[in-house]
Formats: sequence, structure tokens, C-alpha cells
Amino acid sequence: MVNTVKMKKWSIYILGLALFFSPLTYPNIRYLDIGIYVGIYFIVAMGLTVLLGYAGQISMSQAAFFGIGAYASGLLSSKWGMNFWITGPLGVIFAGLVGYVVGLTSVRLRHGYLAMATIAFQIIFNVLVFEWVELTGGPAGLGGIPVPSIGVFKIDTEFKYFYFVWIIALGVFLFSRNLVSQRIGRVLVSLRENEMGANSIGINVARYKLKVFTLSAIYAGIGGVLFAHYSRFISPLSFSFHFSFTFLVMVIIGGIENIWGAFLGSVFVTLLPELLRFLSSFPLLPLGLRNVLTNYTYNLIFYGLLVYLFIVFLPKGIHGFGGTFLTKR
Amino acid sequence: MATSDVLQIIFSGLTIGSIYALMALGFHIVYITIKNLNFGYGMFVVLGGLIGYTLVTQFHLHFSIVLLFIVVIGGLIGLLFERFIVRPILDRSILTFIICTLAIGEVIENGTSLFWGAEALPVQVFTNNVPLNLSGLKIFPQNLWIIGLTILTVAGIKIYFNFTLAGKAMRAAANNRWAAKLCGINPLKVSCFSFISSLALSFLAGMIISPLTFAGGFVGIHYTVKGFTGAILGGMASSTGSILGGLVLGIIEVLLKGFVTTRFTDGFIMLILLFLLLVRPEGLIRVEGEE
Repeated sequence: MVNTVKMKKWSIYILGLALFFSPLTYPNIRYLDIGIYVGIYFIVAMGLTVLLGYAGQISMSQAAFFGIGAYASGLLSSKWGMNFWITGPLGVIFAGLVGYVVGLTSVRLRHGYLAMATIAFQIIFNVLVFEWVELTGGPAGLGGIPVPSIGVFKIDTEFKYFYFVWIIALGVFLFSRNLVSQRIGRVLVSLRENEMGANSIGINVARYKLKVFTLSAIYAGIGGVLFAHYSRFISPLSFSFHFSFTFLVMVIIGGIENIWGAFLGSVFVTLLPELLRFLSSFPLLPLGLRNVLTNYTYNLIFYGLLVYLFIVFLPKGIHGFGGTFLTKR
Repeated sequence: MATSDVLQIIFSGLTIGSIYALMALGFHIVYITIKNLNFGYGMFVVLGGLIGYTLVTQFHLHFSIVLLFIVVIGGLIGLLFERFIVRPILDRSILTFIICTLAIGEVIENGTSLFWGAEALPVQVFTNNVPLNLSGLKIFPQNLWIIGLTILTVAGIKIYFNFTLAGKAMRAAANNRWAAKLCGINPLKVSCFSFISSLALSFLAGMIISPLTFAGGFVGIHYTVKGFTGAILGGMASSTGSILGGLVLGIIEVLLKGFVTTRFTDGFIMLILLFLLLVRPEGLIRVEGEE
């Protein structure tokens, strides 16, 4: 029994290493692009898994924190010409600070009211980015964001950026896995299961709620900074409410009860549009349906239906469906 | 500022507020019966507006018939929504319900853009568009229609809840689910009726507001939050509170647009919502025995 668990664990590590080094053997820009987005979404989705799956607090404003990271770093580096290694951390810190302030609502509110409060914040962010044209460029977007560089070494190709993103993602992953497997992870689960009970055994519920909310905002901020410096152009459309919903989709479909679920979910959400585009290339389909399959907006229809079906039939997501294969738990 | 200006602002505030009152009432009905929030609500408002648009432009029906149709279709969709979407998750956790209604809302919103396109569509007013002039006060017929229909609907809902057996049963179940069950009130029927009336209200609201704001165009979640803000402002647990809250929210919105900013209005309303949630989540009218 122990042996098979160990074997499975090792097979996962080997698979991970193989994926991690696969760009070395076959550097295809399209696959690297997908890999980079999986990495970025993975970081954000991990924050939401810790927040929603472990601590049981809902946030519908992850795209806003993602956008705060992206806009803070993007503005500082493109308009004031600051170095990525200053603007990136500043963007993350700023996202965390705003997350702390929004998290104050999570101390007093629960469930539906908290979801409404975070949606309200998401709308505030969208209105600000859209209407404050002088600062953000408004609907026209913000361009000219420089690539990160260390001295003369520029992280300017997909190949380099892939490793840049995934080294950070692995760091965040290890941090989160240690976090949830230790005392604080059990504290978070106690918040989810029984807030009053947690309070009665001396856990400072408000403090932990605030902490975990800020942490998820920081993760989203990291993702946002990486996104801004990769795509080098950001516009309000990338940070809409629908995008917040997409992060929720990743977490639910991947599996809410484990950090690995965030990975599976971000892979799924990144690959589904590709799969649909592939399906749309079949010549037998009517043109209307083909257009639907290639349009990104309509992916949200699939996401919504899938989330509903997963919640009703497979509440533990792909991760739960695959059994305990991916983890030792 | 002249008196007529103040009256003008109050009047247009009441018009917008009527819509928010209808939406808040829809939130309230679901909230009292199953103690949860329907996050897809605003998307149903948009859907109602779009179906109304199609009935008017494609089938050339008279607007009064369209109104009737809209309420019936809304009720039917409410029935289907309750039966196939809500019932499988009725006994699950609150978070499950939130996420599921959000997901279905996204399906509806993006599904509407499949049929009607992503752009908001202009809808013609019900009768004519010549303003009546009452000593400097300009009153558009559409605004009168909105306010009049809202008053009628609210009166109908009030009569239903206070004077009919079915309405009283719903209130009883809202008050104490177990005691009502002992008296032979089927809680499943109650949730069914609450969704039928709630979604019929949302369709009606979408239909009558669409001449002012256009139909469609990815504003569903804004409607959800604004309807909720109205309900929170007045008191989620009280129907009078929800209606009053909606009306007050409409006046606040018009005041913001008129005197503060037209660009950041929605942002300010969201700030008001956050403030209300933190300071007085039970609203202006508190109901005894509610948490």
C-alpha cells in the first residue's frame, strides 16, 4: 500500500519534470504560450483554492486583484520607466494591500453577502479602469510594457518566459502546499467547517480570514504582474467579472479540496478553447456552430454548464474524480 | 435650483427606482423562502428585456400583449429554473447555491449574446415619446408606464401575500419552515412558487426598463448587484423595505448622475453597497427574528 502511494508520488514528480523540461526538446511557440498561461492561471487559482476550498470564503473579485497587479506594474514600468524588479514586487504588494482592505468585509460578512461585496469591488475596479482614462488609458488599453530583464539578459522569448513563470509557480505551489499541510491549513479548514466552533477553541477567526483573503489577493497580484509583462498590453476587458468567474471555474472543475485541483483546473480552462477551436475545424459542422466554437465569449457558456454539472455530480472536481492518484492524501 | 428641478430629479429617480424596487422584491421573495440569494437574477432581467424586444420587433405584437407574454414566460422559466437547476442543490450548502446560480447566470448572459449579439439593442417606447409638460416638469409617458406598472405589480404582490391562502402559506413557510411543514405546507411548492414569482418580476422589470436603457449588452451582474443593493438598503427580510430601498436607490443614482459624476456612478453605488453591508446589513426596516 505504502509502496504504491510512493510509486504514484514519484510518477507524478517524473511526469512533472518531463513536462517542465519538454520545451527543451520541442520548443513550439504555440505550446509554450499555452504553458505560460497555464502557469499564470495556476498561481491565481491556487490562491482561490486556499481561500474557497480550504477556508470556505468566496471571492468573486480575483480578476480585480489580478488587474491591480497588472496595472500597477504595467503603469510604473511603462509610464515611469522603472525596472521590472521594482515594479513587479510593488504591483504584488499593492494588490495585497487592496486585498487586505477588501478582506475587511470578509471579517463581517459571510457567504452570499461576501460574494456580493466582492462583486461590488470587482465592479468598482472595472469602472475605475474603464473611466479613469488619464491614468489607465481606459478602454483603449495600456501598451508598451517592457519585458523583465536581469542586466543585459532579457526574458523576451516565450521559451525564457515559460521557465520564468514556472519557477515562480513552483515556488508559490510549494509555499501553498506547506501552508495547507501545517497548522494554519487545519485552522483554515476549521473556518470553513464551523466558524463558531473555531472561535470557541481560541482561534482568532477574523485575523485568519483577513490573512487568507490577503494571501489570495497577493497570488492574484503575482499572476497579474506576470500577465502584464508577458502580453505587454493590457485592457479593461482582460479583468472583467467574467474573468473572475473563470478563476472560479478553474477551481471548481479542477477540484476544490486540493492544491492540485488548481493545476488541473487551469490546464482544463486553458485547453478547452483550443479543443473547441480544433472541433470547429471539422468541415461537416454548420458555419454558425463553427463560429460559436471559435468565439471566446461563448466558452463561458460551456464553463457555466460544466461548473453546474460538476457541482451537482462531481463536487470534488477532476481531482476528486481521479481518486487520490495525484496526492498522498 | 428651482422647485421644478427638484421634482424632475425625484421623478426620474422614482422611475429608475421602480425598476430597482421590482428587482429588490424579486430578491426578497427568494430570500425569505429559501434564505439564499439568486446571483443569476440580473441575467434574467436582461433576458426578459431581450425577449420583449423580439416579441415587439419580430412579431409586431401590441405592448400590452407582450407584457402579458413576458410575465408568463418569466413564470415558466422560473418553474423550469426551480425544477431543474435549484432543486438538485436545494439541500446543499449555501456556497453551492451561490456558485450554481452564478454559473447559470453566466450561461444565460453569454447564451443571450449568441442569439441577440453582444451589442445592446434600442427598444421602442410603449406608447409615444412626447413629454407632457406640467408647469416646467417634463414627464415622459414611458416613465409613467414604468411607475404605473410597478405600483400595479407591487399591489398585486401585496394582495397575493396578505390575502390569498397560497401567499399566506408562503409567508408561513418563510417564517418557520418546520412549523409550516407540520401544517401541511409543502416546502418544495413554496420554493417553486417563490422562483416563479421572482423570475416573472425580473422579466417584467427587464421589459419595462429596456426602452430607457436598451436591452442586452452584458449588464446582468450590474442588475444583480443593484437589485440586491435596493433590497439591502431597505431591508432584505421585509417586502415594504425592499420596495422602499429600491426607490431610494433610484433617487440616489439620479442624484449622483446629476450632481457628482456621470462616469463613476456605478462605482459610487457599489461603495454605498459596501458601506451598507458593513454598517447595517439588515437594512432600514428590521424584521424581528431575522439574523
